[in-house]
Amino acid sequence: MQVHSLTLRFTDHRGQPPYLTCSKGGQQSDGFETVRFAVTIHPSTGRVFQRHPDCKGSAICNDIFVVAPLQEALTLVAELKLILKQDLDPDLDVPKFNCYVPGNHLDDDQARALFKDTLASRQSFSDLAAMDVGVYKGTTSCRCAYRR
Amino acid sequence: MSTYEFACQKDGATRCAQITQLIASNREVHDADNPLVVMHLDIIKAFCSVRRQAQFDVLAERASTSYDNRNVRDGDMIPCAPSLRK
Repeated sequence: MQVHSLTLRFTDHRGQPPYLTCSKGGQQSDGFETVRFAVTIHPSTGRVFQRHPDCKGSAICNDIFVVAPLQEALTLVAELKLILKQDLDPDLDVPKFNCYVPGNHLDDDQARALFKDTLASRQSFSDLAAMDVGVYKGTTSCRCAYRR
Repeated sequence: MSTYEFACQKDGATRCAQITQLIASNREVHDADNPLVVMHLDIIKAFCSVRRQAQFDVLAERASTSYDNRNVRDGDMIPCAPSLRK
């Protein structure tokens, strides 16, 4: 089923049965797809993390979190983007990446400037250039750089 | 390997958030020029865009083609969680 087009029927929050035409199968509402996706992607992400001992990662389904110093995190993410595309063919949505800076040791402008400077500092980060910088205060202790 | 995947666990989203916060809070050293960050990555149409053959290779514990920039070659072993083979 996963490699064929199909029509997905499901029950929405109003109890109605909408029909969804799919071109490639697998949907996020399908519980087994979660397991299948995790099984497939874990070895590739694990191998990349193994080469970057300063980085730690956690993931739930297709949400991947990288915890590391900024330069190391960007280095890993640039490599991960390349390896995942080569190995498994998914495209990482760079403009939707979020970069949180925990703590209060940087103000918003410092966080934005530092992120921009670091992105521009290495050629290998060019794949992440679409990750423009802004600042979002999700909580009082966390700053976030993201594309506006 | 410093990665944790929670998709196969009960309430995995909460566990993932808690572990991520725990890892971030454990880093005591904050370099002003290279601060600790938590980066969240997103994959476009993730579930239906991943190659199916890679899934079978993991379950079979053997690569049918090269992966990881040819660091893993055709015929090499691929680790698979024992619970997935039940």
